[in-house]
Amino acid sequence: MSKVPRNFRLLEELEKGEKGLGPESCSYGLADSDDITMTNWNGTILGPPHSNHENRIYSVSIECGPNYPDEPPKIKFVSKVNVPCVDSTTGEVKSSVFHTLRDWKRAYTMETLLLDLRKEMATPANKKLPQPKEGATF
Amino acid sequence: MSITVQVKCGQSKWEVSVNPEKTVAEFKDEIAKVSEIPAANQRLIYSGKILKDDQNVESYKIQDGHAIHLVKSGGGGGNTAAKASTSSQESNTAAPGSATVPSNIASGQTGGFNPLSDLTSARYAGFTNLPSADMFGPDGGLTNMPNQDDMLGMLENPIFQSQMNEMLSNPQMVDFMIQSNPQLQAMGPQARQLLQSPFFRQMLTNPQMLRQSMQFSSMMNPSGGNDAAAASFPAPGDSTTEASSTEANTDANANTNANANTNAANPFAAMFNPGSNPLASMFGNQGVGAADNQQNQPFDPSMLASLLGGGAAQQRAEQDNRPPEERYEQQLRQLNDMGFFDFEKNVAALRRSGGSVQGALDSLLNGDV
Amino acid sequence: MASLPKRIIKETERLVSDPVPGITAEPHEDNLRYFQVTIEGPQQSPYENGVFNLELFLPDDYPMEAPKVRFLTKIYHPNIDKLGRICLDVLKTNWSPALQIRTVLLSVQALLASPNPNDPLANDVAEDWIKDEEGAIKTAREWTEAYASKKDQKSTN
Repeated sequence: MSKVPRNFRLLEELEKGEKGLGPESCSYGLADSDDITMTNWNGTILGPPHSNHENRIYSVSIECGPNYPDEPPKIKFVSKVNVPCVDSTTGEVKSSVFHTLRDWKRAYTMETLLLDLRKEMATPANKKLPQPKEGATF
Repeated sequence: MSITVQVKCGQSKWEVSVNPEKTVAEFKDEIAKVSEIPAANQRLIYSGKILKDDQNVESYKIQDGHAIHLVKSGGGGGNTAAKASTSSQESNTAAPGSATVPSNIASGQTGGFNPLSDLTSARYAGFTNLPSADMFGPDGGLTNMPNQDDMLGMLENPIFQSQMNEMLSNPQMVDFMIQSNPQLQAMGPQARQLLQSPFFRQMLTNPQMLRQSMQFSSMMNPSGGNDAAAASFPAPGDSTTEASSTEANTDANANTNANANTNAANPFAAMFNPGSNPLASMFGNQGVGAADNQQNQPFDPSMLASLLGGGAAQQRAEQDNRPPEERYEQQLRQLNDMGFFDFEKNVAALRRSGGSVQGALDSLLNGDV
Repeated sequence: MASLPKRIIKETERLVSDPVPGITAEPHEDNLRYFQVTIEGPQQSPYENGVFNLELFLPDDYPMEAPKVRFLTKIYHPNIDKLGRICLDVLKTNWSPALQIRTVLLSVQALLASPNPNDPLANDVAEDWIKDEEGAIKTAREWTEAYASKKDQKSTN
């Protein structure tokens, strides 16, 4: 397999997001649809069922740097959330703690990241954590 | 100018048209008409953004044909109590009962609890028509060669045809085929030319042409019908098949090409013979009109084809005294397919050409018959 | 990385040894399927005197699959969107393995010479183009001047 360069990889992800081809439980798109560098993205995660996140929609912002996807993107919760891998003051997902960022692989996408975060929110240890009021932001 | 977007919600999907100048709240009313989910219970997500009621649709740069996710707000949650009270008539969504349960189940299936869920989603449906993996051997070659009937069926399959086409158009695959076959290697650049020539490709992917040569093979060599069919079909990368065709071919050469039957049983093997001009020696003596003047071009695919076709027909002609419609059944069908419907003329032309469709075509087109 | 198919090597060599006038294409050192491309705006088009940067990538299935091409320089054109994506038949449904990098880039250059607002990708640009062609051409000229002028093509984004 040859390496798909950053921009064409991001275009693929963008198209998948716009056409809604991915799973319903997450969504992502360019923050600025004019940004030819495709750096800043918005994402949402639908709170996993049977947890305190059920029925909530969490907003995140994602930054794909010039070395994406060789290097993981930066991801930050905009909606307040209480999960150990998320910095409780800034909303940043801690790359040293969250395994998907820590053990990032080139094949991972923003969708991988969002779905893994959703799984993280649903683990037995995390699903019953008390959550801030819905709608609060960092 | 209005746009049409796909609104997705669980298993449901609606196409909704909207003027982009409308507000999101108005858009939700439109969605409510088709989805029967009240606007107040709709949350819309597009490209990672939650659409806000007071914004215009166009401010989100939604394009025609794009998808929007609709998430029903959970009426049961305490935080939406105020909302729920204003929409008492929508008891189905306000109550955490009937309507919300299925959606929870549905999202639970794709949720964080089943690591395989992504693999089993509907996205992957429909791929089952592709040739199954076990048809191709561990090294990508066609090792599990199906029997002749299956094979013919497979050849009719357009997916298989396009697959063959793709394989042969892929320079790497051609490299691989050549490298894995010493005889092709020995042929040098000509091997590549031959394999990549459109005509050869067409031959390998044209069911009629292959069927003709296969049926001919089995007729000439009834005992080994399947083997012959398998061997005559050069399976890329399948060393065993290549080896057997090599063998058959060497044998035939050892017989000083007198034994046309053995050779004919394996028409494609001849192509892999590095010898000076295997085709000419194999079929040339049966001289089929059109090809006569081309004998010095050993790998000319068109000659190959007319030789294969012509040789086959003549062999048959020598052996049977069946009526022409039977004897030339294949060729007549081909001519019919090409738009020549005059039976008498077709037979006359085929007689003249010794059964070669190519030759018959020439005379039909020239008005010689 | 798997070795590069001969066809790609051949095409690359020819792009260098026998370049198309007004077009350059150089592979990146660390990814020989990924090309840095420049196309000069065709004369007598609103893109005249502009030099446009593009990127081109040959996917694994090339030549069975079309190359992927995108503008990196901002351009005002009804068939090119804000992200530089191009709406061109040979890049989509009309791709054929008989085409090459060279022919694709020539088609892109031809698209600059003859915009087709009736088959748009950038909807608003196409609308402007149909409503007020003169005004649209003027805007295209201004954008060319602002983003694609030869002197400072390095600072295009």
